[in-house]
Amino acid sequence: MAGILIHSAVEQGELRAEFWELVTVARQLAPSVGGGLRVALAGSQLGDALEQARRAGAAEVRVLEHAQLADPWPEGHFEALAALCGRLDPEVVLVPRTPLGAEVAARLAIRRGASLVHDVTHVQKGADGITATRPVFGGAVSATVQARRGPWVIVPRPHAFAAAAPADGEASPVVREAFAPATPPRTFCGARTRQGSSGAKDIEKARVLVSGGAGLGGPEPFRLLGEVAELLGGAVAASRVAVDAGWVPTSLQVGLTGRSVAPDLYLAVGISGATHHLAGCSSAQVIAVVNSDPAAPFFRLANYGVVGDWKEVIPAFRDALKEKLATSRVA
Amino acid sequence: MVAMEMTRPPYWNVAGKDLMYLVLAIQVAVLGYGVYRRCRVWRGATRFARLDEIGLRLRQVLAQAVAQRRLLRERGAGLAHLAFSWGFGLLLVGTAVAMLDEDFGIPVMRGAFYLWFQSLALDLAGLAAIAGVAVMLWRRHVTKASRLREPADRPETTLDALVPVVFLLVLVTGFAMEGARIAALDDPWGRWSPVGYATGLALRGALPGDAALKALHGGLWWFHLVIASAFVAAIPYTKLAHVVTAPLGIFFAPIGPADRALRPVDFESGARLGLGARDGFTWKQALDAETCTQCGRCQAACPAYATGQPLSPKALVGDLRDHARGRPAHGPVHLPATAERPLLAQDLPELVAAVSPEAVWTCVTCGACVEACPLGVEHVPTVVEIRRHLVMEAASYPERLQAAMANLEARGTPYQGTSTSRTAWTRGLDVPRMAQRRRAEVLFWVGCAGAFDERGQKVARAIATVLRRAGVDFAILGEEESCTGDAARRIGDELLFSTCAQRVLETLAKYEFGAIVTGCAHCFHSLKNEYPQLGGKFRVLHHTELLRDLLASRRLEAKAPDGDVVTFHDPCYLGRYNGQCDAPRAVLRAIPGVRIEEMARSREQSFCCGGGGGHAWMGELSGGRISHARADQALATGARTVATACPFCASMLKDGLAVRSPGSGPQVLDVAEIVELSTRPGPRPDH
Amino acid sequence: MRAVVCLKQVVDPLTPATELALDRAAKKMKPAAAGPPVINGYDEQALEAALRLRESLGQLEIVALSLGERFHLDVMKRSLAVGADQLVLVQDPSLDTPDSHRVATALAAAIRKIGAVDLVLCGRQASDWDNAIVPLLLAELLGMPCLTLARRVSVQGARVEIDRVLPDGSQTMWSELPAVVTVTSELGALRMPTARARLATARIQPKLLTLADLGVAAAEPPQVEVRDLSIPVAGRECRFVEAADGAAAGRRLAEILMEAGVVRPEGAR
Repeated sequence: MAGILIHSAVEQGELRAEFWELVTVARQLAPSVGGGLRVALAGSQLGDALEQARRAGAAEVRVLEHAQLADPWPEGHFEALAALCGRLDPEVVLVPRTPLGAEVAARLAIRRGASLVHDVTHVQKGADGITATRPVFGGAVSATVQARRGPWVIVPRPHAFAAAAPADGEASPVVREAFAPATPPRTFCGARTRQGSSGAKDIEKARVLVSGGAGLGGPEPFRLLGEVAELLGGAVAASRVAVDAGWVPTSLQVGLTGRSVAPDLYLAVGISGATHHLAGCSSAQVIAVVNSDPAAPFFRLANYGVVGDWKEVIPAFRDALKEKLATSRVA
Repeated sequence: MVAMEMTRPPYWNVAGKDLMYLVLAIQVAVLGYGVYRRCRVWRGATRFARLDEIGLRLRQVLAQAVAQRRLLRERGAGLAHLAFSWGFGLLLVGTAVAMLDEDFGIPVMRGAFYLWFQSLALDLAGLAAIAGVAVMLWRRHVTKASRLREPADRPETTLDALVPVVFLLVLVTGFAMEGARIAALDDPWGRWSPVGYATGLALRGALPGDAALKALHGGLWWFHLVIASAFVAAIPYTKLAHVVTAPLGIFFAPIGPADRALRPVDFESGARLGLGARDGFTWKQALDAETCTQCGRCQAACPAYATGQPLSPKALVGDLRDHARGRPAHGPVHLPATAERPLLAQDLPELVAAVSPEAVWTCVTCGACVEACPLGVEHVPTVVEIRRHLVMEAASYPERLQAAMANLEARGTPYQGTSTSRTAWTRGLDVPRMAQRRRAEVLFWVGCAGAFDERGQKVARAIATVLRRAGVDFAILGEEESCTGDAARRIGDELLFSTCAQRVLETLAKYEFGAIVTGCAHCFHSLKNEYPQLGGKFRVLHHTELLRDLLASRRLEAKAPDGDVVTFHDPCYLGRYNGQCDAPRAVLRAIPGVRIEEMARSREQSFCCGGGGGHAWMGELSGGRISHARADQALATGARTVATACPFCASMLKDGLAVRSPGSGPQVLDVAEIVELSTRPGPRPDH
Repeated sequence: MRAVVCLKQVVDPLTPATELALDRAAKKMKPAAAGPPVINGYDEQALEAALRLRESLGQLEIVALSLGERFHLDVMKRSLAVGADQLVLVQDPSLDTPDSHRVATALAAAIRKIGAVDLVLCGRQASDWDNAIVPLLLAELLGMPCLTLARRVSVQGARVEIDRVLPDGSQTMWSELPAVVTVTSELGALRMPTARARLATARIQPKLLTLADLGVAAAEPPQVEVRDLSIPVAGRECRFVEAADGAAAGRRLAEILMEAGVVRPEGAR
């Protein structure tokens, strides 16, 4: 039992942003774990992702490439990883906190009898095993947890760790693995539907996010947020309430069960700041909050706060912005 | 001739008089059967009668059924109805007098009485009645007043349509007959019946001689008798029934705030909850359905109808009557509904399908319809009874409301999604808590809007500040306060209401206080008029009542003059439900320089802000926005400040004005906020 | 057909931060002073999934199952009021734990005791520890397949089919019954109970079980221990924008963000 293995699923040939955060965690843990770093990439067509992953400074990149891994099929990805772990016997497995990753990690921990350390914002290994910090109760409470016995499966929280820079030197060698599940599958994938994300930019990549919540009261005001986002070259996001109410598609949801984002500016409108939501946006560089409730918890996390009615604040904000951006372009 | 008695010969020129009794017998039989049929609706209805305050109730009957005050609010139609009904009434008396004299041989139709009453007064009464009925026909068929228009699926019945026509015929033939008699007899007292006399002159000129006059009179007499008898027999088959039912309905109509409290539900009885089928009617509801003449005054007053929402209180009562009489439902919705998705499950109780669930949920329970109804029909309690059925038997209600109610049940407030504490609004103010004080002169009931709504918090701060300034010994319940359950009651969740109320009563029992003062009109109504049903009898004041007293007794001095033109929006549950229209105005008048400019609809006839009946959490389901319509009405006064006295109104009006007059519109302030500004020590700051 | 819905009683996630209190010695959250606990929101949605399933199948026995140290019966009985046929509560001090193995072991034992269970429905995760591991462990212990993140659940014959929520849409997945399925919030809120049902359930007592009844041995030390809990201090100092009204505040916010360089002209390409 030795070494660190980073596992990442690849969709549409793109390496997830979290990959480089996992590399940071791996580099932090490497001195106390020993046995080197390996990377496992899984998917049906790895494309550019493989070349990028080879720059992580790993001893090797194991490739789990198979048509059946095209979908985010938890059991398939898990079986492929479990088979690999059976051969490599890593001491620490790092998995990104995506819906797929979190499930693969949990299944792997169960199969291997490993300790699952979930959603960590800080992690270290000492003589007593792994000690980690993680937010619980939706972020209202911080917990320090300890897992004495290895092996460990660690799921870092997105954006809690800085992205690592690619390593200098030779690209890692690639080892191709066969997809050979230990047991016949028990769950099966059928038709996949993608939401028509017409014009909606990927909120994980946007540098500016204008996010709306329950306070907006319906789908129409998101058009106003869209205008502001357009001015700022950003995208529109939303809280869970807005998504569950059907005002905007799921792909715009920021929060514990939605996307985790870390834009330069997160402008939250009509979102009270349930800890569930804050968990997904607390890594933003600057947070500005517009809310009519002065006691809204979001203000505690904000750099700038406006206590007021968004119906008054946002149109004026948009107009002022339009004006200022126009004049500064002329100047 | 001089000695001739001042009367007229009995049954002059009438052949086969005994046949008349047969006609009358048929009339009585038809009438009796009709009455029986109409009374069937009461079979199985729950007993419900308000029998307290008989004197006040009788006065109400005098004012509304006899003097017809409510009808006269609409001048033209009111006068027409008054002329018509009084004229008709007098003619009936005259007929009775004639019967006494002619059939029973009691000589009453004699002398000056005959000349002044039986001849002149009745002649004028008939003329007035003709004028009245002509105006009414004109309004219905020529100018087509909108409130009278019938929906396509419930056209006016032929009988109902014939009523005024037949009535006109009765009157005209009456005059023609009288004219023929006067002319034929050359009646010396003929001039005392001026219309009859003039008709007689005309007939004499038109007809060849006495024989023709006599023949005309004889024919007309029978014709008149038959149609007049038919007219009377038709009473139970037509809207004429209200002649009998209206005084009853008015007698049992609410006479004060306590009567406007909703009926409690007996959960122990195991009976079906709420109104979901015709056997669930109370006596009064059955009476309401039977009394309604579809005059549409409720519809004209309804803010939801005025803004194109799928509710007409007139149609609702019509639907209920059709349903009560066992007529098939005409489909779930008869007004254009634009709701994006159906609100409810498919298998609706028949009665709900008959009135349409949209209509039931669209109601803001503002009570404008009840206030407008001249016949004492109570639409709102019936709407709530239907909601009770939907909510408590079928758990079927609009989704957003469901979230609010789930939150109310779990967390004691309908404001879901907030993790604000109940006392966040007190930050920076020294507001004493009952838990520490145990007793206080005034218990300030903040309400959920005061605690959790941004606009309401400001009002709560203003009230607390002013109470402190006046040196009132007060305290709040703080975190111990929980929702009165008013919202739950209005949307029909009586079980949740009683749970909420039980919790509140337990909390209140712990402390001693002289009075509860609240800034919320809904909490006010609930605590004052509905809690007594559960044994909670307190002195409950609306904050405007306390402020009025504090200003009158100079415990508060409004020094800073204010040159503002202010219009006051009466919260429904303060003005209409509790008749308290004067206190807030007295407070405003106590501030130097304030000028009150009333909106077209004010006081008891105020127009809802759109936030009542659960709509603060539901929003408008479809159609226009009531708050926008009210904002327009406020703008029309030119006032710079729209004052109100309920946090829901404040927040709805603010939103409405923000849309209807963006940027430069008037500000919306609670009366307490205005008082707070004008009683500030030192120079008045600009606001 | 029989379904078990696993419900967890949790501290109300909407408890105001000012009301939260920790018992640092016990490494637990103190029961909230402000209000009663709630059923974990995702678990409520799992119950809603079961109720909808019953509507589409015509017949389904629903057993609500919960573990804990102390139960707020009014809260838990809501499951009965909305339509669960039975409420089974396993009570033991050791069950108030974030140790997933302990919880899953006890749940599995209870589900075996209930017997003949075709479908186990769980919320995707609990709002307190957000681990999302218990359902997977439970499936492992029961030897059932596990489908996760369902926004829709249907049963055809011996097969359960779900729409699994993905970040960019959804995917149909299925497995043979018996199975464990986890439900996500997109499925929709738990329905409201009728008043009649609320009144009726007030008189029904849940079935109470102990770990001894289930034959579950004493707790082993958890693989992952909680060393400490603390309430983090907010990381940012909020600068509130002062202005006469909302519109002015909006304009001022734009100025401030420009001055601070957060909003740059090139951002508006």
